[in-house]
Amino acid sequence: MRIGAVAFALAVLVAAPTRPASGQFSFDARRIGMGGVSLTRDGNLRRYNPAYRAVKDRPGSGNAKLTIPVPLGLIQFFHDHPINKLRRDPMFNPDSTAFNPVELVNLVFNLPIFLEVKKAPTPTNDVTFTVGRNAFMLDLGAAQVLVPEDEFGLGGSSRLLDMGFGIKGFRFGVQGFENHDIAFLLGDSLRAFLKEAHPADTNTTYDVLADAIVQAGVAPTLSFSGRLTGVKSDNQDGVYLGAALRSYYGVTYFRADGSGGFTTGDTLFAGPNPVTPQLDAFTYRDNDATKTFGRGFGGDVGVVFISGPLEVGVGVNDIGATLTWKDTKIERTVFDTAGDSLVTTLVDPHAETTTKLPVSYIANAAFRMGTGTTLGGDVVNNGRGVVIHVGGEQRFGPLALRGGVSRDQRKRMQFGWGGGVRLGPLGLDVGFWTHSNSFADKRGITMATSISLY
Amino acid sequence: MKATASAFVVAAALLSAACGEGRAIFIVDVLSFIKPAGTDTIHYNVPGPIAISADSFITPQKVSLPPGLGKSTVDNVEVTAAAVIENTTGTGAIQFEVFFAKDSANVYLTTPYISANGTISGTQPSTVPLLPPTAVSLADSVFNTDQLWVGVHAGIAKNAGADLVGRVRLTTLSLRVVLQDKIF
Repeated sequence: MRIGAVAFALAVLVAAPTRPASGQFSFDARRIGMGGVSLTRDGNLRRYNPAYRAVKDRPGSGNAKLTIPVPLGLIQFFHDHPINKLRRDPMFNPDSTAFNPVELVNLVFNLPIFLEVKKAPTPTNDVTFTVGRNAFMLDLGAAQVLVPEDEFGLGGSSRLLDMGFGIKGFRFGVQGFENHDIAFLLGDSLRAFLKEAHPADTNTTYDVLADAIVQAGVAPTLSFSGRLTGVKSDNQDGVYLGAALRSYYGVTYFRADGSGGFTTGDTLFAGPNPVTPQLDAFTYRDNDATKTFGRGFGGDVGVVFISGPLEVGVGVNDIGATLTWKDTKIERTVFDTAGDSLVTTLVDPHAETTTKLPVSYIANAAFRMGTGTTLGGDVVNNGRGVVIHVGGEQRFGPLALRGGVSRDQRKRMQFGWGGGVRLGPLGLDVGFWTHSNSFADKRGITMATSISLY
Repeated sequence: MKATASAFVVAAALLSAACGEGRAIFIVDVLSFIKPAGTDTIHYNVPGPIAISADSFITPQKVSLPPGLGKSTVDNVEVTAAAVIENTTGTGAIQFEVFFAKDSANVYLTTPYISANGTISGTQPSTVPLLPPTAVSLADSVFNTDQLWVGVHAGIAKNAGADLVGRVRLTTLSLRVVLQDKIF
């Protein structure tokens, strides 16, 4: 278990750059200092809004050619946890009396790329179990706030590659797509038991509902982006449109949904079977990707409007993207109480099933005043909740001050602030942001640092 | 049973781990485990005109606790108990003792965790309370288990005179076990 924990944590560290926006949403300290908003026409806008393919970078807009994060957090982490002593490190060693699983979970949620200047406090309240022959109650105290009331999980869609060529606004390419989503929901009884210290009842099921899907493939795409108005003007004012038609070829797909938990007996703490495990799950998987693909069609649309200092855009991805998998194996797994084991049965060896790619979108706006002030905001949904960013930057010659707010996927307000200095082609930026990624009810604060080359 | 009982507290334990450096406190109503078998009551009937002593023991009773306790380190334990002597005839004295052990064979081979004495005198029938002090036992390994055995002993000393008849009835028997953080 110890080795597994170390391996898992290190694997996550290695995979840090692939984390979704719900975590450390950027490695750019400028963006972090503005609460997550981007005031430049960066990859995020072009990813979600095909119209931005036709919009050139604004001259002097501040687009950096390269931004390199300064991983002060990693330096601090490996100072506190020497890599040659990780096996004996209390953080990764469950046999240590100082081992705290909450700290390990917080490490995964808050990868130490940047410096954590204020750690979210770990709940330290006592937890009380009240046990009787026919009574069981759990009082988590202040830690009850950690019990999720609504669905929780992780997910998102990404474009793994995008190769192609274009001419006169048209572009043909092949994109890789990947979608994953894992969602959990506590059953009513379990939620009341954990969150409200509700006494356990006899003959009652306490369970967690789960739904998980992973699908990936390639999608030949024909797209167009162009400027509709102001084509011959010498500025960028005008309306830009973009659209993409995509034919999806799903290569792999796995889905599982069901519930798991336990059912209490006639008496909670007596008898041969006081509780009975309960599991009932259906799994779906494509049989052979070399014979059939998951097929479907969908597309993206986007529009950008630019008028002087004002810029507004909306882009929507994967509209109508439903994939049909013609050869899917469906199995059902249940817990057999008689045999005290899991039993899997074949429901259908060659079923036709469908999956959907979540519709993701971005709406953005930016306003550039002539006084060195730029304000902006965006609303992003990558398929798993809306994130809102609003922020601004004020430049004073080579110096810049930044600030912003955001509403994260857990609907909590977060705040960012920071500044930077640019000396010719080199910029050094610092950004602070609050976050609620920790296994705690209070915010932590991260300090991000990055170097940009212009 | 152990495996299935584990499932009952897995969710709770995972979240209890969220208490960080906080303690896990188990309040166990031991009386509820032994009452259904009727072993919360010890009947006595010591006949004869002379002074005599007798002992009565209940069959050791099992108390099932959430799995995981066996891997924990006990910080401290408090035992709270109360009983009454409900005497019908005769006079004398009764010593009341409560034992705990990890297995049934050793229940009465250990030192009692709590004990109290009551004197029966005067006009009968009468009710005599037995209120032993709360016992505190630091880091007692007997309690870091998911299966605890409890025993109750009544030591009866009859005075000369009428038959000593009545019963000792437990009214409270509970444990408060405080564990260090590592439950599972």
